[in-house]
Amino acid sequence: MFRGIDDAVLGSLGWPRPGYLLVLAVCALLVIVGAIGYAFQYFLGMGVSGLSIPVGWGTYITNFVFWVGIAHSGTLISAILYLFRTKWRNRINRSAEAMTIFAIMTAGLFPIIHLGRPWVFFWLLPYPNYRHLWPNFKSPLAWDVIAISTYFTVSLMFFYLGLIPDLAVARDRTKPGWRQKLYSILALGWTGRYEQWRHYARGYLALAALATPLVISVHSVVSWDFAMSLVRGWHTTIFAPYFVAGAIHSGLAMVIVLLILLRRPLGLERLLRVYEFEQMALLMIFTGSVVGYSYAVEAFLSWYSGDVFEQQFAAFRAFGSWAYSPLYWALIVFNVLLPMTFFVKSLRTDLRYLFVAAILVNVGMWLERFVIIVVSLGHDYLPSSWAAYAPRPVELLITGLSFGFFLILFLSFVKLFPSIAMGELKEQMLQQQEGK
Amino acid sequence: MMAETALIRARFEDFGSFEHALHALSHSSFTDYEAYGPVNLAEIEYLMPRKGSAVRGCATMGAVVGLVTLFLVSVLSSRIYDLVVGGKPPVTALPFIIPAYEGTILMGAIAAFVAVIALSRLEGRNPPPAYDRRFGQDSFGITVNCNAAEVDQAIELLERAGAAEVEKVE
Repeated sequence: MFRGIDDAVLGSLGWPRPGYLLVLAVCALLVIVGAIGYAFQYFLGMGVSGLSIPVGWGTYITNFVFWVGIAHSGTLISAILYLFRTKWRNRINRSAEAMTIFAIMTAGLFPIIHLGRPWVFFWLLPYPNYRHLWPNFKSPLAWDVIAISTYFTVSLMFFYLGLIPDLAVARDRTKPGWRQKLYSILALGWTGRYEQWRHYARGYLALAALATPLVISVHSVVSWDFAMSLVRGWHTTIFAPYFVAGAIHSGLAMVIVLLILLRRPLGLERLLRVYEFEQMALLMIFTGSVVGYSYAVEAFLSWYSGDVFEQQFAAFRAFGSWAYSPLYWALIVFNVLLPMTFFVKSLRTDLRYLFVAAILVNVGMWLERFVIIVVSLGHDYLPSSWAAYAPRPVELLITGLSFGFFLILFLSFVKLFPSIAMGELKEQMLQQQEGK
Repeated sequence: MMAETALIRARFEDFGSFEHALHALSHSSFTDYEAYGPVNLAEIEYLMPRKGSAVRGCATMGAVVGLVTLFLVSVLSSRIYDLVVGGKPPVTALPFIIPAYEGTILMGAIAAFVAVIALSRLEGRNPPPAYDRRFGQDSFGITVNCNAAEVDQAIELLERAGAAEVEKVE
């Protein structure tokens, strides 16, 4: 009855095609070159980066916020769409969840990379110490650590719990060897017994219900890293919803990019249909609209507040700099106007167009974080301290490292574990057969 | 002297006959039976001897523990490490809601996860002998534990319900 699903999904775990190996090699190269760049920074100090007073946060924190944002749509697709019983999620949720885990791991590199003395990173950990260091629970930075580590832990449990029934199928269908041993260990002896399903179903629902407010809270907390300070362009109450919508927007774009890239090499064209991509594109119209509304409100309130500093800053960001203003307009085009083209059915169902558009949305979302961080810090209340910042080669190499690192993890995952939730797809098929 | 027992295993190729067999079992004298399937079997709960689950209760308890713990950690550690930052008193309740909120979700989720693993008895590496590999893939299964004298009756019941295969395992 369900053999076709198992065959297609487990068939994708076979020996990779040359294209896959080529992409993997390019990613490995990015990681190696980026690691060399980081070695320079480690031994020579932070001076090799472009970071200085007043722009103390630059490309590294941009990357951190970008990757945390990418992590958001995984749990959105898994948890929120699960609670809404959205059927199209069943074919993409596994990849989106894996993307979430790997994106948080990638984001987690940057606070360490950003440290001037990374060898004493453990000073950040809360443990009784003579330096009287302890997390200041009134600081958004402490909230950030708690929120993101919670998000990672909950996402990992949600991901693993969903994977267990499929690991059991993989265990039962794999020939004896290291793969079968791995699946046997991870499947924990799952047999699909009613006793297991009745606890599993409730546990999965409970985790979905707990993960849903978490999606909203995590990027709200990340936005408060900025909004709680008195920096121009940061100190605004719209930042939390604006960041949450932006995070989901970029995450959806990344899921589209990854799945379009992989559906053919993995032979999953029949399971990953154009319909699923179309639904994600429609969701991006919504998130793009929220992001566009936030940009508009930000500009409007700068004017309406009557605060001359805010007004001057908004004008500077949009029109005042040959270096930064084009980036500001580019992010509006990529994040807001481009997703609006998805209203045209022929465009949102054209996977080549969707692929290019999703990449540009990700570029736009990276630029958004860059403009928020760099332009505000470089253009504060004191004109004598205004400064420009541009990433130095080391920062660009480390940015490349993050993409390579993320893609290596994701590409390894899709060849090692079932990348489509077989159990949920079977359930959906059964419901269709029963006319539900 | 204990009566000799037997384990009967039946395989079903469609959900309808599987459900029908469980219906027949629930109205019979057999009480020790188990169902297997490749999909969530919540639909057949009304036919099974054991219903409900303590997972939600565990998640709620974990959430409450997380809420209280993280709030207390914030308050008590701020009293011990009472550095004044930004002119604010070390203990201010409102900002501590954020760690408490995250603690609620974290501990609730951990409790739910551990409860699923523990209550489902997911501790082994190898499935039991009663398990047929096809149950995880494209078939549904029922095992009946009964007295040796009832074996024929159990086999007949399962075959009549539409089982594709019925065999005595032990």
